Amino acid sequence: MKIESSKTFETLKTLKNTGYVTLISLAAEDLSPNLEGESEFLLTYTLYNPVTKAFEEIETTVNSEIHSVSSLFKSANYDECEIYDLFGIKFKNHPNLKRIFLDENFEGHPLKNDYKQDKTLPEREI
Amino acid sequence: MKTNSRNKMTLNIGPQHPSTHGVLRLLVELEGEKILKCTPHLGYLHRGLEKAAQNKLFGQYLPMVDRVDYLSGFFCSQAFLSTIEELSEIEIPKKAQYIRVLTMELNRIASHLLWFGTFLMDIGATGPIFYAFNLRNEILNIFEKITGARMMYNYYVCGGVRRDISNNILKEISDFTSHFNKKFKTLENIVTKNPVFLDRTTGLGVLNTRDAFDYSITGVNLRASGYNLDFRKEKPYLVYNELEFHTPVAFEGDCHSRYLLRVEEIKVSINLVNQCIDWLLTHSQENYSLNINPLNIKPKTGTAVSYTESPRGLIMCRLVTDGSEKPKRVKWRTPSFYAIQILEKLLPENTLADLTTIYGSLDVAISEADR
Repeated sequence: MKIESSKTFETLKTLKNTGYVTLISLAAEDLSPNLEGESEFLLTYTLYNPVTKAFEEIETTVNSEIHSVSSLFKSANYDECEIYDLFGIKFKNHPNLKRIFLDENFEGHPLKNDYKQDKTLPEREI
Repeated sequence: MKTNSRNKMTLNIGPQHPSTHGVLRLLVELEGEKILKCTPHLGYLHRGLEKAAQNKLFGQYLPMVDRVDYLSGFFCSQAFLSTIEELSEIEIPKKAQYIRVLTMELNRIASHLLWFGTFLMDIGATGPIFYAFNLRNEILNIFEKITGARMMYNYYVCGGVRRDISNNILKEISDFTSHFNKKFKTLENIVTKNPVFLDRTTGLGVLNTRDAFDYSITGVNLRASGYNLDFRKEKPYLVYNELEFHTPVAFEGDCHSRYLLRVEEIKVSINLVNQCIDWLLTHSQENYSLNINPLNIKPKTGTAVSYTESPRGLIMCRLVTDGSEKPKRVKWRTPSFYAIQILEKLLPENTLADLTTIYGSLDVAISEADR
């Protein structure tokens, strides 16, 4: 099911109330062709309903910011941190949005298409 | 160590091995020895496996896939290859499917045995790890004969498996499985009803079903909390729907039931291995691979998702391709990533001494959480 990014929170809330209580996975993908212009990302929410054993995929496209769903699904907390870390998408109302894998001083977001790999990494303070 | 007030302090645990499978750092707020809050810090084992996929050929990325979770490499290979095979519309030969199931189930036993040893070592029993590693070593010897490697196998290829399993090796595996239960019984006798072990695990770290769903917990940890979700049955892949097996479930949700389930799952896997051997012995002449050149893998444009039941839970691999010989995006959904997050929920109100028990019982592999 494809929806607008502004309606994600409401749609997921409705789905949660109808029994889709597990957010199995939250995946992101960079859709923008290359370097120039504004980035566009595809977010895929995979939900699971333990009673009917049904799966539901929700897709939405985002430019840079979207409402966080971590207040609905606790597991989204880490998922959103991961996506922020690797893609730079900001999640509004997230309790603690920070880099989860990479160093705090790391510049750029490696899975974005405009990330240049020849950058030297900052030295870590020990 | 930083003192906040008279009784409260913040303690840093790690980033060395709190349990023996990886590097994790936990910040724990304590009042006396009672835990008030726990904050896990990830990233010490991050290898950028998703980024690495983007500038490699499919055949070049394949050997790296074993490293997503080095304790159960076969599962990651299967997760990744089934997405490629789905997009290329390949159906692998039946014999290859049986070989894959055979090796995966042996791998599940090896992984659970390693967990068994290290979990008990974490809570202070140093003996069982030697028994467990002895048994695991026998499995690794078998893997060495089949694949040539003891841990990073790179054995599955697109369209089948790399080499055939000879009847001699199959006999060896069946020797191993026939003696396994007796040897494993010795191990169980030391632990399962040991009063000290029962004291330390029963009723501890109770995870209720609602929280398990909320935190997206899968695998044994979810089944120990009373919900039967096994992706071998839910979304059957390979030949799992031709094999007979049951999925054990428990309802207590505590450390002891997670222990019992893993022990039970080892026995189920032994049974599955035996069924595979029986089939393979009668079909030794069949083809085991489609012989596809690994440098020529070029799936069609599209997105494929695979669900694989690994020893730690659900591994989901999401592959997006644009018709070229390199993957556009590979996303790994790994169970330990979510199991670490549940520590925030399970640890408060317990004592510091119970931290390793609860953490160990979840069977977290950091390699898989950090990717």
